[in-house]
Amino acid sequence: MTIIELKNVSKKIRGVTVIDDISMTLSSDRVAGLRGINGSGKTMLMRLISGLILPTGGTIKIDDKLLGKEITFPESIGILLENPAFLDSYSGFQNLKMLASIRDQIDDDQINQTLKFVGLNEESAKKKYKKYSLGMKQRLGIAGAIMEQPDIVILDEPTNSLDTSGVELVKEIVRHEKERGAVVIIACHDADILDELADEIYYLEEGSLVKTTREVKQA
Amino acid sequence: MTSTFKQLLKVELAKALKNKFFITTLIIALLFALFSAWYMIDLYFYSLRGLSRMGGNQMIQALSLFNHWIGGEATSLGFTLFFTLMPLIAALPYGWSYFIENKSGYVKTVVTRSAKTEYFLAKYIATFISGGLVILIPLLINFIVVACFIPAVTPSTMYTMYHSVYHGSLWSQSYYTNPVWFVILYLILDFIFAGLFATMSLTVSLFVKNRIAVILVPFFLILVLHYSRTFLAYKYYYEISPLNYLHSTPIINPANVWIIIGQGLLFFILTFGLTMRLGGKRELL
Repeated sequence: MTIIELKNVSKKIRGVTVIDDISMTLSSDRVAGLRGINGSGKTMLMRLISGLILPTGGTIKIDDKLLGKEITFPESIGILLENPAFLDSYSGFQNLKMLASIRDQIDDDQINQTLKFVGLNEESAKKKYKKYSLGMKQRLGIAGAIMEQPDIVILDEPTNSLDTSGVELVKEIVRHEKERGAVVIIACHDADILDELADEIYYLEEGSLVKTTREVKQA
Repeated sequence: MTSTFKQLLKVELAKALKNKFFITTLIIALLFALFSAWYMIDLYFYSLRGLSRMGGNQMIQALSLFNHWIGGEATSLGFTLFFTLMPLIAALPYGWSYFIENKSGYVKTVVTRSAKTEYFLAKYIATFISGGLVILIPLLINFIVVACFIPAVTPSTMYTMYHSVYHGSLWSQSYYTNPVWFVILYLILDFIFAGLFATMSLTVSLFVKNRIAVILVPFFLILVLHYSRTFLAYKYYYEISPLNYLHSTPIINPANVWIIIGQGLLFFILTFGLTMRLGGKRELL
């Protein structure tokens, strides 16, 4: 059971408040959705939870361990933030293999299974990343985030550049990750997708948490 | 050493040594080195023909492998291109990599699997080795090619005017007693400095937002150091430009081992210190 606790988290970048006093608790078996217009702070909040940036105020705890003090990054996390980023001169498979080799937790078969799961067949997996279409890049990005079955899965706009079948695939992946017991955090512009997938939706506006699904339902 | 660091280092080394920039730069550096070899071998046989026409002293100890390989001659275009462009050649294979990985966001997917300090340490080592090897390999090949044509006669002080290593020159005793050891010392020196030139690009990429600048800034910094010698003319006796002391043919001033060690340490402290300190603290937006 993984628990992410944010307490009064704020972040200022060059004097500008991008995240303002956010508190929330996220746990396993739940899908947390983030909704808000561009610049509302969704990606910044995901970066904070990933440990890529540190809060200027408040605390983030992952399983009671203080992020930035006791741990620099969550111990088991998979991220797809904004655009997928891989090395152009390597194939899809080679890119994933290189990333997987850092923790050395999964073998080639598991990488291939993940590639197949996200809809990249053997031929696509052998292609160089620079020859991938936008949709294929997005699928590879999702594969990179989930291949090691991390405790925390962060997906920022995972349906970008995907066709209808790709969107259905994302839904299936999110459900699968939830069933597996991961904390899934997803940001998506498509309100219908978020409504369908998220157990709770957090609405962000100018870096502040303005309401959650529960409050909306009560209203 | 953690297990993730070992794995990360393996990945970084593979990326640094198996990329098209490393191969292309190596080919260009090899061309310079082979161009020097071709010119010097031709010059050697020309000199032999001239001496044989005169008869008498064959001056065997004046015409040796050790003053005809690229690190011991200062006459060919290959030599000039190789040693003048060394900081650029060293940075081209992998000095730009952090800049690209940071710009694309790739670095985020790597550091969340390890740690920022491990990432930057692995990157520093891989960049250093790629820069070192892209210089070391052409030097070695040049030495071997030249050795195939010109005998490795131990230089004699009787023919000092044919050799560029004088009394007081760096490691001059080795040159006239054990010249192979002298060459090995220069190969090590060049490997280390080429590695440091490459890591300068890595450090610069923490500040500069342009890929071309990342590659060129170290080259221009070394050129500034090289031409700053002119301000020291007639005031300071020893060589301060790496472009002049990384081969055994200093053009004006003799090299001094303490200046070389001092500069090497300074380059290392600046590149390693800044990369690890700033990189480790850097927020990945």
